[in-house]
Amino acid sequence: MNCPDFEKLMAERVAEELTAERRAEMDAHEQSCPGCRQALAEWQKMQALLLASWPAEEPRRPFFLPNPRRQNSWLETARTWFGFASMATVAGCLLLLAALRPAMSYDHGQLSINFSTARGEAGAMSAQAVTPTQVQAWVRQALEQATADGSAETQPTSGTSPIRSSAEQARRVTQLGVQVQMLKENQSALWQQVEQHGLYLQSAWRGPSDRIELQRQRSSDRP
Amino acid sequence: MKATETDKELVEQALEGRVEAFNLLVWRWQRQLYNFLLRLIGNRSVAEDICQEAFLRSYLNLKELRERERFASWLFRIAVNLYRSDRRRPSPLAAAAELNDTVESAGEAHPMSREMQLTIRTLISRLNPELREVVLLRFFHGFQFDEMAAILDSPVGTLKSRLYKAVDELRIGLESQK
Repeated sequence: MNCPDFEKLMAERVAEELTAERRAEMDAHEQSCPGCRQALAEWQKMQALLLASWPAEEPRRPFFLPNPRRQNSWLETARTWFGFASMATVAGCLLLLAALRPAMSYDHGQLSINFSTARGEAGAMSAQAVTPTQVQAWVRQALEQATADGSAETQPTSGTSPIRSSAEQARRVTQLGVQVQMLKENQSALWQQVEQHGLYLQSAWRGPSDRIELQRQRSSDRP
Repeated sequence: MKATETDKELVEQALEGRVEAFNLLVWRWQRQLYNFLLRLIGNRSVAEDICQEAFLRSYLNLKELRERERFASWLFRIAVNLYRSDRRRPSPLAAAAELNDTVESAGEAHPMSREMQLTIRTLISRLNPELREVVLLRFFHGFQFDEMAAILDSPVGTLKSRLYKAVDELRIGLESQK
């Protein structure tokens, strides 16, 4: 170790922050170099002088933080308990609803509420969804009813004229034809709307240049 | 809660909401921090205000402390930043004069003469604030250079050169008084 290295490590040496290896190197240099030995002694004297010149004093007041648990006011306590009570009330109501399972129905201007506690028992009004099978059954039943009514009307049992019943049938057939025609028109109008919306969406997605091309294609595709 | 718990353990307890754990940290470091600020500023009221503010800010921002075992360095850094942003800085001579009442007479309890104590305090107060910070942290409070680098937000090499410069100035000042 040379003198500049010794001087660089003087602060650590004074504060005893060196490793054992470094300390041994410094001690060896200190023994062989009077100048560095004197410099180290001056550093140590300076530290001692500084510490002795200005002893620490006690702060005039403590800096503790207030403990919040000791400063709970009655308002905060009431707020806490009110919060707990509200949560308990809401939870109780939800449990009561789950246990009683009330069902509401509105029939002929009267509102009725029934409570059913047994699982799976039908209440006053069950909110079951209508399935396609049920709809088909209803339609089939109505068709059978209509067929039965039609065959009964065609039988000359009630004394009505066969000509009148034929005219009635013709009138019904005409009405059905008109309805079918209206349905077809509605269907074609709906398809047109669907096509327009689809075209708009495609053009919006592709951009204005493609939109013109798409319109041209759609117009050429149409018969 | 024991007084032997480390700073890291107390910080972790304080983060769990135990104010008494943080107060133990305050009790442990208040004397050091207050005296550092007092020697740095030279005014008791300002030192107390900054000390209180530093403890409050450290409590409020405790979750931002990454290395929990380095609470002291972090606390001193907060205090140094508050000191640097505070504009109530008395002049060095006024600061030395205010603290003259604590200068003790020479005797068995205090071997240094009253005049020598006053001289050294005045020399410390006259140091550039950057040099004074380094001298105080190093000689009076025993912080290592890496801790000082964290407190003062400066490289270790810079702090070392500042310390050598400060010691030189103090030595020259003492020699001129003789």
